[in-house]
Amino acid sequence: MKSLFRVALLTCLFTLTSAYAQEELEPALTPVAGLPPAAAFELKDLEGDVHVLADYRGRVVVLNFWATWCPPCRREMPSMQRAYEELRDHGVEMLAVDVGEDEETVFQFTADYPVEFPLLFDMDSKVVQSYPVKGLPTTYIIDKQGRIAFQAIGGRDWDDAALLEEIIRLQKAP
Amino acid sequence: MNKIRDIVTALLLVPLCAGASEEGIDDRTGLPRWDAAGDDVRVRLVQRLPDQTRAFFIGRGFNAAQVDRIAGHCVLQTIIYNDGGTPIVLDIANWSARVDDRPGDATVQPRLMSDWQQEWTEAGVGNGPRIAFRWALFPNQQEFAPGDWNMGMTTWPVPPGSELDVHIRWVADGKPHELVVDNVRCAQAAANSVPNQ
Repeated sequence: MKSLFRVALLTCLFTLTSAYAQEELEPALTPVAGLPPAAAFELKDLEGDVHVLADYRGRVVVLNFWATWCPPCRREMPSMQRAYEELRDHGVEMLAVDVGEDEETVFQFTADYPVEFPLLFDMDSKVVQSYPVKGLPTTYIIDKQGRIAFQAIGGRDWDDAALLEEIIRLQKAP
Repeated sequence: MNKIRDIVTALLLVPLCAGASEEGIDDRTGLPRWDAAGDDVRVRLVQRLPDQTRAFFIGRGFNAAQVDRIAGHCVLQTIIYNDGGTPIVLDIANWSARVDDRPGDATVQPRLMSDWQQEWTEAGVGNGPRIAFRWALFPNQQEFAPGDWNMGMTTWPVPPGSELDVHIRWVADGKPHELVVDNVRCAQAAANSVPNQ
């Protein structure tokens, strides 16, 4: 009987510790049913250049909504940069839309989190509200036809091999 | 007879433990945090200090009286993971907390975004601070696909220093689920107000 209790207690401890030790983020991308069209936008980046979503038609776009104060957004930024280094060679674009902050705040942020992909400004939050975003970060994978193919709510390890493969496969699709 | 009782007790132990909450220290903030897991959902609640909350919202354009209103609540950084294979639907209007182990109906609900935004509208708070507030709070309603997770503040209308048993509720496959995070301690107030609702 003692051994039965021991097994039960060990199982209990395993349940608790394994649940909380799981710090690795899942690489999951969720397919979006019906492939809805991605809402059009024109937003400026840190250099003042205007990015028009429609100009990226024919290329897969990783569209990330974030803010500097958001811990999971900060956490996923380095992996987004690593993913960008891989994806740009395949013709995939990455755009990170900061929600509600100004250039100075984001400029300071880039000192600690240097990235090469465009950081865009949605200061009045109009663009984020044209997408079904409920919390930050949220990321959409937009296919070559300008449709939302996948979404990810919460941070991801964007340089995960399986996740990259999914995006590259979408870029290679007709 | 005793053997049967022991076997039943042992079999009950595992599911009970799977729903238990565990206290620790959040490695990012050094503040107390409470974890619970069950039915393929993990929850982490992290204590926020009133001054931490004041500093955050002052930095986003709220004035001193307004940040005191927020920091007068029990503010918990709330993180939820969907670890299962089924989408889950959250609506924090369905969440509640028992306060200080009071018996009976002494429960509170988290203050909703709509109530806060109405207050900010009446107070003439500008668009910038309101946008920051909207994205800093845990979304009031959200669907998490498998692998999704999110974090944000929840604000509970109880005095700082209160102790809460927080009941997190969600729906998966059309069925309601609940996870209780026990003995969550709101940070003590350094000074200032208690919410009046």
